[in-house]
Amino acid sequence: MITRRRFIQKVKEISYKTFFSFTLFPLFLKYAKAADDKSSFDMIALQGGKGPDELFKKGIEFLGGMKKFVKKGQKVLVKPNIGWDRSPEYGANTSPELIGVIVKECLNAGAAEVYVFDHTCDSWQNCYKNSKIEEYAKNNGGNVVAANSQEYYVKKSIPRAKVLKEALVHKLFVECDVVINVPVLKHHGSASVTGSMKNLMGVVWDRREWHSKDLHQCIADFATFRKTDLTVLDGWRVMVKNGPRGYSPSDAVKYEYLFISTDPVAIDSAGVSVLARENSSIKKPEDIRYIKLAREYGLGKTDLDKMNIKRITI
Amino acid sequence: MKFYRALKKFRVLFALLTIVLISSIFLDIYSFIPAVTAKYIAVTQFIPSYLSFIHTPSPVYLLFILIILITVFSGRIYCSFLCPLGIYQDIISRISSILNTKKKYGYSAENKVLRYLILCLTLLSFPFVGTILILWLDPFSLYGKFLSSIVTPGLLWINNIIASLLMKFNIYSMYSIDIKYANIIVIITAALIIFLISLTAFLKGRLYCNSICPAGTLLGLISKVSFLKITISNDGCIHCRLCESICKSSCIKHKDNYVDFSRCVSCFNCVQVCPNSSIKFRKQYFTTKAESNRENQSAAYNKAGKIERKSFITGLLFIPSILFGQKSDKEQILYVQDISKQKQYKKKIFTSPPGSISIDDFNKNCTACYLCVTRCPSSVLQPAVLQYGLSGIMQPFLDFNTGYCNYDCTICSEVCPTGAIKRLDKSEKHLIQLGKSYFVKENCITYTNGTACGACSEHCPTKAVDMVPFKKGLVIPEINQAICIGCGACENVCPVRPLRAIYVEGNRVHEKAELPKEEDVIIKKDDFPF
Repeated sequence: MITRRRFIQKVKEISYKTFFSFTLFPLFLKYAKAADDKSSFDMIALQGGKGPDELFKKGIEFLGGMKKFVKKGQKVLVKPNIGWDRSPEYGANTSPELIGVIVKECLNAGAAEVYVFDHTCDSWQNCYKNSKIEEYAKNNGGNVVAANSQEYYVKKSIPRAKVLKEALVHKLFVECDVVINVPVLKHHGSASVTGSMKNLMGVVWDRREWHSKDLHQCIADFATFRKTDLTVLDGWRVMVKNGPRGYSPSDAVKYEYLFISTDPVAIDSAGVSVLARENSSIKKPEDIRYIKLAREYGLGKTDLDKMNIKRITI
Repeated sequence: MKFYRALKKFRVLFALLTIVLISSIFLDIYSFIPAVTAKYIAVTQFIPSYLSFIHTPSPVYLLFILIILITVFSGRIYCSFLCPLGIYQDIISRISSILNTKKKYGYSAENKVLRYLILCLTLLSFPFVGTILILWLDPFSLYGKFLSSIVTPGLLWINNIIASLLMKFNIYSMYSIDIKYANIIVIITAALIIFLISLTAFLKGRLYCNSICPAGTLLGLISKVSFLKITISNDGCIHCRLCESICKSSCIKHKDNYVDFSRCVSCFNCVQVCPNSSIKFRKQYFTTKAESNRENQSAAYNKAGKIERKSFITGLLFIPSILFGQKSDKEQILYVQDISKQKQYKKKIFTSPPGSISIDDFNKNCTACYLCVTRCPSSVLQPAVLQYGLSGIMQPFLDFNTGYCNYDCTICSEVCPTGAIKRLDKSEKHLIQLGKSYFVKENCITYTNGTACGACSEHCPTKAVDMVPFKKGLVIPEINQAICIGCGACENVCPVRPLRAIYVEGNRVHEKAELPKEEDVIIKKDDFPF
């Protein structure tokens, strides 16, 4: 029997349901679609906030989160720039907080092991210690590995290379399932700009060979060896002159940038455009020969205007 | 008797502790021991402590006075308790007596001429030529040479085998360390010295300590007036010869109940072995006249034959370095002749470590114990052969083939136990110019191949090597010698061979470098440039 009260209740229910299906559900759909769109960004550019670690946490969500890059049980290599025996304020090495948070996110995503190393220029133990990267990586559960001895390197051929046909490559760079390149943006005396592709010089044994056999060609050649899965460019402190070692903390400008992308060439192009403001000798991405060569190899894009960039300022 | 047995046991334990400590500072391949601690362990030694004191008269380095006072009181306690080479020889002679249970020592006369000649030469030459003789004679330095040039590389080798095994199982907690010993000549020389010392220790006990070691001779001279001495009392002695046959220093003559205390190293083996307790460690101010007469007679008796043999051994120590040293110089010349296209140059002055003030000062004060060589984190410190010329054979120099001097590192100055490398802090070191960098444009890759390189400028800590426009958008190094500190980073990384395109010519006397200009830190929060 339909009472008046029950009738009113039924009407209420139906109207709620229709309201939901006609107004809120499309909204939800739209939101879900937008979430899907996030992963189609070419690059996430962030600025401001408390530190590069906060920027990374925010930025990686727009690429679909860390789980998109690191699957359960995988071995991950996080490759920072620890080239110099310098404390973080010089901007000569990657910010330690950034390495810490990336290691942590990888482990949260289910990584079996996260390795961190760099073939340093100055004596390695001092570099690892004074850059504070060893401390931050270890505290977040990372496995800090040495790269100071030839024993860690295996000979690999680089089929697509024009000049650097063979190289002694760090075992972990070859073996790890996922490679996350975390360079720091710096001016560079000979390569003009050092970013993601130049940072991979730290996974090979013989750097003198690169210098003697056309540096730019070698950088581009080695980038064809293995495409890194994710590149995070630390632009918190940008060394705008006297790079790559820097003489004093005043060589670095605190721009507080962070760029995240799967395209190393796009990342380097963004880096060039940042340095072009302070350094008159650097103009546009394609002026740097190794970036141009990498684009010709089809490793990524250099035209920043045509990219789908998500810009976030905190 | 019980007391003496305890005394000997104490000596053995103390000696083992000492040798473990001293060895650990040389074998510390993982740098567990802080550099300053290592230095303080090393200055427990007689000669290093004295040398440190004359450089920096600080009470910390007064241990040599304490050693002298102990010697005045109770003889050469130092030789058996603190000297690493002495303890090493004790271990060797112990092994030899285990291998050959019948082995017995016997009294042999003192080799007075050789002994005091070496002491006099060392003392007299010291003010003029410095440590050139001490370098070959100081027991601590000899022991250091042995460990750091033979044992440490062996240890590194074992470490590397284990590390590479673990690496196969994806364990990276142990790391391998490349063995960067540049000079086989130095290794051979050190091996030869230690072989000769081991051989004499195996056959003759403390022969080295009592005929060559200048510290031993000096302390022996002092111990002649010691308050406490080992003496054999005439009453209880049954002439069993046990004491004489156990004496590593061959300084007991049972027939006359005579102990040559200047050669006694206070090991207390004789006092604990005496069945009748007639050997005592007790006060006796001077040796009696009769005893010294006897001593003279026996010395004269034995003189002729032995000196020659022993000076021959000392002579042997010098031969290899001279021989091989010259050979290495020839190799260098051949090296130069190989190149036809390169612009030729020859390095004239090699670089001495920061804090050594000048090469001459360094040559006069360094005893080549190689503590700095083993501790140098960038392996730039390597033993020289003839890089410094004859006055600096075996002393460490900065070898830019194996590494370069890290800008913020002051470890060698913290660890040097003789004061040859003065203690520096970072800001002092940044201003010391060890040498000046020279650029040879004709050999530079950018000039010859037309490709970018710039490795030298990358590594330069003061930007004394800067990149300036060249042609076709390339950049080429340019040197500002005023701010160059001569660290050798540019020379080390330059990829050009056999002659490099950039090299450091050492400063004979270290100079003061200018500080590059520093600007204020800029904080800019511009928008994205794209």
